[in-house]
Amino acid sequence: MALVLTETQTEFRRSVRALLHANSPVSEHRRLRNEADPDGLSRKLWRQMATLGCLGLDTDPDDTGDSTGTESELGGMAELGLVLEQCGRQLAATPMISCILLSSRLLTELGTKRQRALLTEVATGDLLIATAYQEGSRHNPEHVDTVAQLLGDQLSLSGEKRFVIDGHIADWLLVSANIEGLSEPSLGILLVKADSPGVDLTRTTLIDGRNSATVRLNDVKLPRNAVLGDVSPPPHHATVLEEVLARAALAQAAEMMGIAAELFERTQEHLRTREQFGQKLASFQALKHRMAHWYIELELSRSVLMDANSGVDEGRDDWMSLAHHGKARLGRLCSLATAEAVQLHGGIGVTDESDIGLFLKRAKVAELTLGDSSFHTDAYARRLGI
Amino acid sequence: MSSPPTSPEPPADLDAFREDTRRWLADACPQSMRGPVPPGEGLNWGGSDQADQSEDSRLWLTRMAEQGFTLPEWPVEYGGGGLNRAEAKILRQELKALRARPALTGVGQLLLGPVLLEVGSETQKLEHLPKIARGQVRWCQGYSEPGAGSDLASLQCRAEDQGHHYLVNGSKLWTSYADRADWIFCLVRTDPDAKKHDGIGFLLIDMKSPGISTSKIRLISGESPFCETFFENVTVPKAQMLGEPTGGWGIAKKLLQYERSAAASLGGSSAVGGGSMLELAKEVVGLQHGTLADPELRLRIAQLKMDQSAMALSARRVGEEKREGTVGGTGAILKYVGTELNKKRYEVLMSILGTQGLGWDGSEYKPRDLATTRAWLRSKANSIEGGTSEIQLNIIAKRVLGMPD
Repeated sequence: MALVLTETQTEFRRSVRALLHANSPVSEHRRLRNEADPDGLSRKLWRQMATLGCLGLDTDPDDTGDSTGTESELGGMAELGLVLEQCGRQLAATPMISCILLSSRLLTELGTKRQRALLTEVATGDLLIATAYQEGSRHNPEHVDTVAQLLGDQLSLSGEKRFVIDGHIADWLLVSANIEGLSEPSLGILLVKADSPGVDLTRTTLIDGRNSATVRLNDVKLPRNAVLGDVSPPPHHATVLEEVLARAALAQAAEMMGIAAELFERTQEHLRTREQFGQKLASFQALKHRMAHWYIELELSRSVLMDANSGVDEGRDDWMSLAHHGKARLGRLCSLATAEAVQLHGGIGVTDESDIGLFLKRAKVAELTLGDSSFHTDAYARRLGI
Repeated sequence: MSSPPTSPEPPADLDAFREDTRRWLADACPQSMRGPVPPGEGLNWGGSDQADQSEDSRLWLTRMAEQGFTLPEWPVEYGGGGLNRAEAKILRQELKALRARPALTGVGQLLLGPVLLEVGSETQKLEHLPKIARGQVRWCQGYSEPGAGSDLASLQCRAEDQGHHYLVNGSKLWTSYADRADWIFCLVRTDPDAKKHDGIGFLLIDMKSPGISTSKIRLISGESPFCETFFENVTVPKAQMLGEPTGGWGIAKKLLQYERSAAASLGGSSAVGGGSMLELAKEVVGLQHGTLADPELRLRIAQLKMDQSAMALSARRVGEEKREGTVGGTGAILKYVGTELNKKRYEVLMSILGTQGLGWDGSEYKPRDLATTRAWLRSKANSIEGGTSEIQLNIIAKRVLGMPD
């Protein structure tokens, strides 16, 4: 894909939009929240997305079999971006980021054949895997205190992970830890069954009605082949983790694009219908300029995301910079979009009855997930060599 | 915006064309016309006044014009090169490979030419286009007036129908380089009784006509690229009206589109005095533990780089959408973004230079520093000329977002 969608991509986007429109309107998101649904998301929707091929977009077809029905023409960041943008527009709660962009990708990149066997069930929507990489309250994947001590053929895993997205319903966890007891200490990703003895999962309810978990690991006993790939030679998973996080951040940015675009259209509609001082709000120049400015930022963001997605798919040398730019820019766009949407809707915008607040809350979670604008601007600057 | 007509013949052999072009350029392009334009030297704007141009610059223009390469895609009969799109692209690539500077620039080539091609009569095209292509005539633009800035359509400069000719009275403001131009294209009031947009004509006027005078306007940068131009009982033949005498506003808007896309391209480059902004920052500010010593400035530079790339990608996307026939509203944002970005770029450069950027003249300052400072001052006009940023936002709100008056 270049900077315009192909016909196949346009068709795929139409299918995703139709599926989400029918099965996951914003009212469904509200219902999940109001009823304090034990899963916090719809497994039925997740399986429907599997049928459409959304869940196998980021894995090697050899690992998932033909169960996904993914067409060969599709598969890559461009399509993942289309799925996530539609999710953003509808506020569809799905484990797309946690299970597909993070976990499937880590398994695909690093897993042995035996470990990758899990991907078949992931692609059908029957198995959920969450990735536990964060320890503090700010995104800093290099900060890892969790330790996996190697003793003979056994590993003992201890530590605490926070903000493990969808961790509360995960069947398996991928955990970053410093492996000790090797010739040299090194960061590795470990595959851990969520109900292993010593794993304590505490569900956390977030402002957007979705869930993450705090994962406490207390002397969890694992075989040494729980490390993705192998422990000899010592794994250096830090680079792969950084890359997978950057790709996931770009996908998160696509969801934010959907949120910002949806808020824009809803605000436009509000200004077209609401009257004050005997005229439509849309006729006031002060508001026109704010909408035009917002539109400009939307268009710039769209160009950047489309190019970043194709940069990843083409394996361009600078794809990491493009991903950092994407997440940094969309963080800023969402700050603008949510502030303008609430302000221009006036009082109704701060009521729970209006959907605007739901978008505001989801946007804030997305902004701080996988690194905010400061984090990614810093990473971008580093890659500029300054 | 439509592209200039292309030659009907298919490319006989593009490789052979590339070979010939490369060989010809290697001979034709003087050494001094390669590489970035040094501070204090300007591009060749054509016209009878070539006093500030070097011998090489004049030679380069003459040679390129003889081949029709100053306007490669225009038809040969109008002084162009008659190249098709593929050949023109090869020519651009070869010029770029040689780091050759443009042989000719200016509003005749960039703005008036494309509009003349579109709406001019055959006589007008044959009269004016070849002279533009050869750089023989330098044009200037007479749009704004003292009382008509953003509200351009309220212009008062009168052209009265006197039977065989028009009699022009009034004045024009911000006429770029009117003191050195040979001809001017002007918006004039032809029907004072019609609604303001409907009584405007688009008139081509010889600057040597009796009754025309100019006075230079000194800008904050110390330079005087703009003039005020006065018309006192100036007689203009009726054949010099472009299009209908009351159809000037439509033509003016067409031309403004070319002007805005030219202005939009401002924000893309980050080069300064031959080096890059990043190199300048590393040289002047310095690195500490591998990152720029000023952390706030470091993030501003990173942000600017992102914005420049977002701008360039959006311009490319507009082009791709045009080719695919799926044009959206993105094109309308480019003038605003490009010019605002160029101002921001110079603010960042000034921050990088520190007090070295405060020099007005003298031996204590490098030519690079002085040129950057003057360019910073000049950039302040970017979001005013060619339709202010506020007018651009009005256009987006009205045309793209459909917001009511």
